[in-house]
Formats: sequence, C-alpha cells, structure tokens
Amino acid sequence: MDEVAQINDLPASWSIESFTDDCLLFRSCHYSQREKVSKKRRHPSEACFSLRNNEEALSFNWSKYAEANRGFIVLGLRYGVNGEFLHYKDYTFFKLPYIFLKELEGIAKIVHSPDFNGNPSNVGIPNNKSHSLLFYEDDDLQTRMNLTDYCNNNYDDCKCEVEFQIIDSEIENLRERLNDTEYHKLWEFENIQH
Amino acid sequence: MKKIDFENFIHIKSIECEDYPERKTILGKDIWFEPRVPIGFQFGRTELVEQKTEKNISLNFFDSIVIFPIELQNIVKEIEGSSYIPDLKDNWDNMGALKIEKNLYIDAVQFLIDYSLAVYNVHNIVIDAPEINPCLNGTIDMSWRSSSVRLLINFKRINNATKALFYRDHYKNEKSNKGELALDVIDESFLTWMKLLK
Repeated sequence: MDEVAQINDLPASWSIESFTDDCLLFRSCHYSQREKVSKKRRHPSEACFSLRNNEEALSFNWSKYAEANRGFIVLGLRYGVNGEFLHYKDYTFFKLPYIFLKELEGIAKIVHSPDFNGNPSNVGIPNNKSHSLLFYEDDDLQTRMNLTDYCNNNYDDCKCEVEFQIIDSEIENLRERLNDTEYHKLWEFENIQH
Repeated sequence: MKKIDFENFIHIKSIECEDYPERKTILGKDIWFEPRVPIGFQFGRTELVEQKTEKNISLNFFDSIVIFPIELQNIVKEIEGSSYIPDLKDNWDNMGALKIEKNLYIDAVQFLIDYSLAVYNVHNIVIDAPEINPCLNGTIDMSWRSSSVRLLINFKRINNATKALFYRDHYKNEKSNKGELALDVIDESFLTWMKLLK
C-alpha cells in the first residue's frame, strides 16, 4: 500500500474495475513511533489517513483481490526507502465498507488503481492488483476525523486479526524466491484465499 | 517519602483505613498511604508518601521554562510525550515520510501552551489533553475528543511560516466549523469554544 499514486500500463488480463456496494477496502496503518509514546494512543489516528507529499490519494486494497493476509504479504515483499524489506508487523490493517466510504462527506471519488510494475516486477516492488485510491476533496480534516472515528467506534469489526505464524512463514518462503512469485507477476493465484 | 514501620502501620490501619490509597492527616500533615507487597497479613507493606503540595508544574520547552498549574499536568505530559517529534528524520517510517521541522513543532506546542493556559486563567476550565501526532507529509496533527465536541488542527509550514487549519464539530458533523487559525494572537472566539474540550 501507499504506492505512489500513478497508473502504469496494465497487462491485458488486468483492467480498471468498478466496486460493488458490498465490497470492503483495506487500509494499512503504521504504528507511528509507538515505542516513543508512553501514553495509550488512538489507533488509527487521523495522521494514518494523511497523504504523503507525493500522493494525490490514499491507498487501499480491494477485498476482491486482497484482504488482510494478502495485504501483509504485499507489504512484506516491498522494499522500504532504505532498500530493505518493510517491517510489515509495524502495520495494522483496518477494513472499511466501500458503501460507507463512498457516502462519506469530503471524499471526491474512490477508484480501482492496480499497481503494475512489470511481469515479473523487480524484487522489492511487487505488483498489487487490489490497489485502489481514495481521493479527498480539498480539505481533508473532517474526513480524516470521520475515518478515525469509524475505525475506533467499530474497532472489533474494522481491525483485521491475522495469524502471523502463517504469514511469517509464507513471506519468508516468497522472499527466498526473489521475484519468481505471482505477486511479481499477474496475481493468478491457485489458492483464491485472500 | 519515608517508610513507616509495620506495627505503626497496623495501628493506623486498624483505626482508620479502609481503602487505598487514602489520605490521612497526621500531626497536621497530609500523608498518602499506598499498598505494596503483601506480607501475609490482611494489610500490605506500606510506605508513607507525603502529599505533593506544589500548585504548579514546570515544563522545559527548548530555551524556556513554562509554569503550569498542576491541574494542567495532562497537557504537560502530552507535550513531554511528543518531544520525539522534532527529532524525527526524513523517512521515519521507511516509506518516505518527511521530517517535522523544529519551528513547526515549536509553533504547534506554543499554541497548546497559550490556549490551555488561557482557557484555565480566563474561564477556570481545565481542557483535556490532545493527541499530538506527526503526519507523513511533515505536518503535525493535534486532535481532541471531549464528551460533546471534537477538534482537529493541522499545523504545516508554508513559506517559512506556520499555518494552522482546523475542523471542529459536536460529533456526527453537527455544528461543524472549519477555517484557519491566526497563531500570532489569541483568538477569543476560538478560546471560548475550547471551553467545551473538557
């Protein structure tokens, strides 16, 4: 997630698709500096929904192609700016109903925006067929507060619980295969579990 | 803080104490009792802790010391807890997050100092402490949620000056209001509204 907002040329088997009202969107939220703050913090905070300087929109994963497990795997296969794999356990995934998001005040549009970087893409830059973008209207403060409150008021439903033992093992295996994985190709998984 | 011997403690306990911690006035002096390690009796080993009598609390904030009334200690704790923010380097999340400029942090915290003290001094109201969070784009969020209202202020640097945008409402987007805050003066209407942050 948090890919720089841009749409690369897509392979023939990929297309920009429309969301259905019953689908979910998954947002990865970084535990920002949690080791430095002793007081219990709201998580996600409004800051988790702020845009980076080079972003025009907020990144999500679409449940049609990736729920939390697959989201963590994509994170775990990505390089950070330091050229090393990301610490995917520094993140939490929160799932939000598309229908809630599209009716939320202050949101201009939500679009499917697959992130395709080659077939295969380079090590550290996996593709992400589920990648989607949420565009704010001009001022995002109210919307960021509402996103935070929604997640905190529905915390048990929104926060994704995953079995890290399984994810750890899968990521370790996939990292050893460098870019010879479906995550670096066309996302044609034999196992449809997301 | 000084220890009390156990016999004396039992004596005091048997006479007066029911629950802990509890304040007792002994020889005209307020003393707090706090339970510690159980030692086989129905009472715990206890230390006498002298009640703090300070009315103020000080905050070391860069080159100055700011004195707060003790009632605003949660504000001071939040400011102290946020002191890591100006030390963040570029890419502090390993995904390209921008560092927070020191002057931005100073201006944001100065806002909190000025307004929390002003609400206290003018209206005799203690506002809740906000959460101060760094944002990925190098700005700072300061957010409050009281029982009746919520407020988010985003501080950012533009052309070497700090700009503060706010959004506030009474939840569910009711009585919402947004705009820009002037940071060089105390905005009286904003100050009055902040009374609700308790």
